[in-house]
Amino acid sequence: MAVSNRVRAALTTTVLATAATGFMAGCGAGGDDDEQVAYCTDENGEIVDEDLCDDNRGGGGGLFFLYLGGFGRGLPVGTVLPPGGTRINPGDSAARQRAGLPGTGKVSAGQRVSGGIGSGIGNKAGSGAGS
Amino acid sequence: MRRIESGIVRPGWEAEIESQGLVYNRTHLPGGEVRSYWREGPFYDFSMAEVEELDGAVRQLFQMCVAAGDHVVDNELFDRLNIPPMARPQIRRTWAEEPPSVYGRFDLRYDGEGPPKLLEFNADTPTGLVESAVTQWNWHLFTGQGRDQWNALHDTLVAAWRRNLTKWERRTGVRPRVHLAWTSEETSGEDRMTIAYLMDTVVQAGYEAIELVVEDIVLDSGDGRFYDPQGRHLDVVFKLYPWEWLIEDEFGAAVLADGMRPGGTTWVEPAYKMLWSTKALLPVLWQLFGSDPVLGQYLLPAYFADEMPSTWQTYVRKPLWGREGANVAIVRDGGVTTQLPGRYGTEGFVVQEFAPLPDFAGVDGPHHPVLGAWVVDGEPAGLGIRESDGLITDNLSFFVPHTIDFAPERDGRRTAP
Repeated sequence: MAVSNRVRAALTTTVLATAATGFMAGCGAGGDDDEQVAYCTDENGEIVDEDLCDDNRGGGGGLFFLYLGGFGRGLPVGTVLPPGGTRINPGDSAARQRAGLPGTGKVSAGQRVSGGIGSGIGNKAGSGAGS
Repeated sequence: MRRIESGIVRPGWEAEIESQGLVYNRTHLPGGEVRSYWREGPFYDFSMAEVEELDGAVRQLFQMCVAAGDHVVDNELFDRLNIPPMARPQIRRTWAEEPPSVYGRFDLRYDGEGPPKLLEFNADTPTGLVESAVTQWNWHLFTGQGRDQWNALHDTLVAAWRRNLTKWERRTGVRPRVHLAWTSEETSGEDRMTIAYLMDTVVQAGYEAIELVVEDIVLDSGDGRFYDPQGRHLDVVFKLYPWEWLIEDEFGAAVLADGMRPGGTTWVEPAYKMLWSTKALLPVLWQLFGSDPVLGQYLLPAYFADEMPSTWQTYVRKPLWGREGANVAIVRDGGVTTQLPGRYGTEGFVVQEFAPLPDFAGVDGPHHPVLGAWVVDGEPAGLGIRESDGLITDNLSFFVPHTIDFAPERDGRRTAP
């Protein structure tokens, strides 16, 4: 019974090998630009509770920013993000919208700010679409 | 079936497997540790008789799944499977017309002693393909271990595309271009490499393959049809994106409506895969074939949770639409002993008899393998094995290659099984 490929030779996988080389070289995020991800941080770039960046939050106290950049997703509170991102005043509705964020309210940690279909359900999955 | 603990370790294997496509090999553990998903050195070995037994079981299981699909469609059991009403016309249509379907993966419990038992059918968006089809094949050729490997994935995938796309072309009079789409939400590289590899198989079947992310799929609100960002119509789209997510998305209703129209986009895998990728398949199979002396041996008793026999105290509970072990619970003596976190379960559960995975223990502890038996175009096509330390196979498991008829004295002077 034949249970394997007819030719016992390495497979020709040009597309895969090219994609792998590109991915390992660091351009694997899926497009020309790294995905932009937003977190609520303090003035030192440390991720804080997203409620602190809710522009509806009463009171005040402390400087908090929506901090946008090509960071990983799902980073926990307390993580200090590297410099180089964009700081947005949570109360500046126009600036929020220019960055693709909702104009008001709080922003979920690691929220996507670009993309279209597919982001809704997959966003909650925590892992890939495969099984 | 046995586990060889200390096979050949190839110099520079880590860089080699990454350059071949396994770019998601480095697994970041919750504690910050990084480890290899691919096991270099250990492997499983099967006799040809065992592979023939597995191959035969997979053939039978696939035929049982076809019968189960007929049963669900003919008897309108969609409510019981918790399949949304909006998806049902498309499921019925694709079930009747048999549009292109390429692959699926049965997860089996097997120890080389008793018959293989079906744990579940990953029919819609199975991954683990690159490591099964490419990485372990190259490993087998390079190390020379084993007389053979159960691995006709590449040949059968090329043949499956050729057959299905030729049929599509004859039916429509149009030579299709094939878009292959992954979700950019998946950043490990696994989905992207799966798509890249499938593109290779499409190209080798003689058709044009175009990569796409599902987020870039364009719906024309004028004609209700789907396009890529360059404005090319999507004739045939392979989507590594589950149907149950797709229909919930903003364009979900449009995808289903377009699919019902002549000249609409053909989605691969087809919508009927929802009949099989839900764990609700398991109680349906058991109901139909559990008492069959031949076919029933490949199944574990399974029920919808609300029909579980009152005597059951020890079982596995699985959410209908779960993935990678999420929300799977092992219940012993009426209490949950092991449970993985996740977001699934509100859609309902099935329960399955608890059949602990075998343990092929090594010096480094227990190893519980799950056999992923591939089906390509309805035929058994190969094997990929993942093993875990624990009894639930999750996304932190290891991939372990395999051989057929390994003989240490012949296959490798450096090995010591």
